[in-house]
Amino acid sequence: MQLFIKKGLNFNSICGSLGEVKLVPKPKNVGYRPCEYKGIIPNLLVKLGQQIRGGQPLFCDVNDSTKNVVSSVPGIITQIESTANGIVSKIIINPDWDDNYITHERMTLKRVDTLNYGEALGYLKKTGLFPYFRQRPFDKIPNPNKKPKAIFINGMDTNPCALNPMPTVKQQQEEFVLGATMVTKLTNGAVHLCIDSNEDDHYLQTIDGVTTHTISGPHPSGLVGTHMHMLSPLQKGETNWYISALDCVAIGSTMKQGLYARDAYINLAQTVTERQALFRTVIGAQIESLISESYQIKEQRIIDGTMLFGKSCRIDDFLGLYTRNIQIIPEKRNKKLFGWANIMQNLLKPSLQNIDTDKHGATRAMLDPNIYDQVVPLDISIPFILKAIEQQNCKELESLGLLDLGEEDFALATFACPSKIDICSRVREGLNLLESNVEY
Amino acid sequence: MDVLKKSRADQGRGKLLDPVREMVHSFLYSSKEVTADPVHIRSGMDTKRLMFIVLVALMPSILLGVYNIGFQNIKALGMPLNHFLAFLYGLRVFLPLLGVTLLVGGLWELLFAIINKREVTDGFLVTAVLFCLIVPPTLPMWQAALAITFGVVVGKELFGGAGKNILNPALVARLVITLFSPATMLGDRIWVYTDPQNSTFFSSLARSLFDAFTNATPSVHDAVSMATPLGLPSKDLGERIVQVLHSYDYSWIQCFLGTIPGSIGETSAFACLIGAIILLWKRVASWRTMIGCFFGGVMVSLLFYLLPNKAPAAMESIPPHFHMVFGGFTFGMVFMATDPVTSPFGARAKLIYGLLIGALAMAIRIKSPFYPEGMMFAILLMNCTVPLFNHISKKSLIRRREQARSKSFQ
Repeated sequence: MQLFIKKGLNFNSICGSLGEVKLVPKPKNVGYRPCEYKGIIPNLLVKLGQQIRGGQPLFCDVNDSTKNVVSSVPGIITQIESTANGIVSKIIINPDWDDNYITHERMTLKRVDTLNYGEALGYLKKTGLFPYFRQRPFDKIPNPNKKPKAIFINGMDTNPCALNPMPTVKQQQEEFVLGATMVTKLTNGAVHLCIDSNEDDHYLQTIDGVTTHTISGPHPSGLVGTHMHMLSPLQKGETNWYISALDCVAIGSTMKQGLYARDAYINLAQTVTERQALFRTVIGAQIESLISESYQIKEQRIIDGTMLFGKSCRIDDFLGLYTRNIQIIPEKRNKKLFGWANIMQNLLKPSLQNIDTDKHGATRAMLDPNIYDQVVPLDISIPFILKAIEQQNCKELESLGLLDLGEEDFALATFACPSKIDICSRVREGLNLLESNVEY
Repeated sequence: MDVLKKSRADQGRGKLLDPVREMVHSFLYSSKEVTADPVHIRSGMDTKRLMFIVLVALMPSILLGVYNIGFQNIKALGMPLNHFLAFLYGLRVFLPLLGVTLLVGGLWELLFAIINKREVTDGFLVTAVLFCLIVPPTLPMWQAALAITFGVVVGKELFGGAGKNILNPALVARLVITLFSPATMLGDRIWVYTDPQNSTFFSSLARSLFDAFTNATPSVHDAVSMATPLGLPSKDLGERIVQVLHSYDYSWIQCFLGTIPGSIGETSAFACLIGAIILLWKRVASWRTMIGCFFGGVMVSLLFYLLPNKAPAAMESIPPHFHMVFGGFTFGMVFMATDPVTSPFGARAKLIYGLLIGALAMAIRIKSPFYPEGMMFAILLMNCTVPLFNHISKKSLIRRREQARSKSFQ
């Protein structure tokens, strides 16, 4: 199926060209932040100073000990930090780069075909690959006891300067097909693979049980929320799972080799210099290891994610499981005299010159709701959603279509909002409200 | 600014005057705020700039309106036409009015900002300018001050400030004068500004400056009686209305350009059209509301025009293309009906909303013996129905989503 998205904003103009994949020097530390794994309340399985093997579980969910997160590298646990109320907040490993990995059963395509839901799930949980899946509503690691309505494999990202997964997928076709076939075992419904319409997709058509959709148009055409909204909108009580195409490759590669796939592909974009580079490193690597020493970080903001939707972080933070992009943008420089008087420029259009952390104005009441309609291609109404959140009206939020959307889907509207309302954070409040009221 | 901020903070009395400093700062500079998680870049568009675009779009109306004040005066006195003098004379009338409106309205705005401990919102400037453009040039200053007080306090601040009001504040201000002092808003004697007999110190000062510029001999006149095109049908002249208009020298092109008596900014449909192009180009106003309003007006006036058995001089007999350029219809259509705060949300809702404003404005104009300028009432009435519009579009959106869920791709 082909989908055409007309509304939105194209961020291509601000992205530099991409070089080939670079291998990062081995990071000195590898770290895990359990709070990043939404849907898992961490129960620590390792001790300080313990020697661990690659692929060994670090922590699991309090309620489900099979839902665990594993270490990408073998090494020694050097640091464990907890919050004031005793929840583990950080685990730091000093890797020794031995080949000391836990081995799992190797799988072929034929073997995968014989698996049922429970066996497939069991394999993914045992290998520590299950956290790659997340569910909508709420963007959290799914409840494995409940089969999803559909699973989305996302092979595109239209965020500014974001990593395009498809070249890597193309290089590792065999692994991808293996992983995608595994994914089809997890649902009775459809498995949707969404890729950009410019991608060569003939090698993807052959996977049994996977429907390929080509999508064209500006951002947010590459967001999984857009795909779900159009292909499989959710009713109360239903869940959709989603996974990135790169994570599918990781699943396939684990199945092929019987070892936990530790590789993480990270796209580093530095907008000041228009530099972009694709790195291969390990999951949980310290961000420091990506950035060359000569590069000045002063008055720059490092973002885990993209500049449109991400979390600001420090140079000694660690890559998360879902991190695909690290972007560095300049902090706001100075205020301009009579800056508001320039009306000729099309201000909605981002250009390389004005990429910085300037908010371009102060927060006001919502004055012009029309602007959201110009950039949001979904059949939703942001003013109504914001009002329902304010009124804490769960029923209305469900019927207005918030279930198949996440914070990420409102980033573009937040970007465009002239009243500078932080729509993403409001939506987060709304989703938290729904989550606390209803069992999904 | 930073030095000022520091000295204020040192003296410990910075708090009360924070909104003042903030206002000056935000007028001079672009904002100093930076983004926070999770969206790290923001577009350059903010409310300040939105308001500035509206002001730019209003500029043609202001300039032509100011010129027209002088033009009407010169015409009424039978003096030889001098474009520059006409403009200067117009400025003499317009600037004090704008000044008083800005001062009084601004003080209220500031007071509420201080009480509510927030910043002065950027919308006020537009409200003040809009108000000055929809009143006759002869409006007494004290009435302007009172009206803008109502507009700002009752029309906006009591609802929680800019963005939360349900009625257009400038129209609320005008409504107040219309209801409490009809004599200053109705009739034939209010549209041409001439120098009043008991001039105050300031106006005489202004006049002497004006006279020094123009080398004219000081003169004192009575109010000049001059009917607007919309005032004509009520006179029952017994002739065909088009001929009456012709005898008053109100050709269509004159009405379009705006060289007719009327409220300051609304006489020129041409200026409004330029404003509309700017607003639509910058996507500040909704083209749906404008188009809807236009067709609503055309349809209703055409309907009455085509009715049989009508008096030849009655309002019904004015052809639709004249109706479009008379009175405040175009101005209201371009600048008032499209106000995004008091408009409904959805695209289709905007179209119907505009259509109803246009139709209602024409119906009031043609059928109301009391007050031919129906645009204000139409817009205020439709402002009140916006919650209903929003309710209906929300329900239809919910229904649409439910259908999508049941039909989803399998």
